[in-house]
Amino acid sequence: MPGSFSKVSAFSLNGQDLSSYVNNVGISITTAEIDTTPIGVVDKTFISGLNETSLSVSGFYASATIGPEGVFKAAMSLAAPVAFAYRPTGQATGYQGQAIVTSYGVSSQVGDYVAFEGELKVSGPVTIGL
Amino acid sequence: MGQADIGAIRAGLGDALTTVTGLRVHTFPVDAITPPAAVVAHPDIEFDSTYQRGIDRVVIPVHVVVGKVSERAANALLDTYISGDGIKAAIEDDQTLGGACGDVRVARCETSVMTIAGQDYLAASFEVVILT
Repeated sequence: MPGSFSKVSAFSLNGQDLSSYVNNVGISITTAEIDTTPIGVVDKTFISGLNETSLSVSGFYASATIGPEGVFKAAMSLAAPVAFAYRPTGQATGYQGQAIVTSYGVSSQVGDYVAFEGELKVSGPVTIGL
Repeated sequence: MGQADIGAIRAGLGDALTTVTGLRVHTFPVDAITPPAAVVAHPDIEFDSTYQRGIDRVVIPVHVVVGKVSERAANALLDTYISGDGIKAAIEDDQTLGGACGDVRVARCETSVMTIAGQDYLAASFEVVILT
């Protein structure tokens, strides 16, 4: 049966489950396009190049060590990538791999909740097990 | 953070409102009141503000009845209650309502004339927004 509500989604970073703070995760997997068109033809041809994967994560801010502030900042301070897991349907393995945190920010608009936003760049392969 | 415990939220709001001198507090709607009195009404709940049942958003009205419309003292009391350091400050003094929620905010206030048991009363309704 198609369709799932995102309430079951889950996200963790560096072994910390941040699901209860998060309300939006986006993952983007792109492949470089390498132009292999020879001279003298009309139609272009391509082959796939290297994959590049990034994630954007946002939700409710919390300063606790186990909250987004603590987890994202700790990950940013490390030279090596850290583990991430994003399970859109809340089941199976979802998307898993190693990533570096490329940005982290906090915003607060009057009348709304204090929010955080982080960006990850995947290092190496992404295991997909939806 | 966690699922909305409406009973605990009612109790927390009740405790906060009892800090207002002279205010009678009802944590549930009642048939009759003696002003000045506050009544915690029934909530609207928006579930699933985050993944995995992390945060719910609860909007719960608190009605405060001060007295008859024509009474000068009732009007003065209403002015006190609806000021920024009145009912709003009392409710937001403990941002967790005694551990019942993650955060609380009195978002708005609207004054009106309420008819209770056939009697018109000067009143203010506060919109309390809660993150569990």
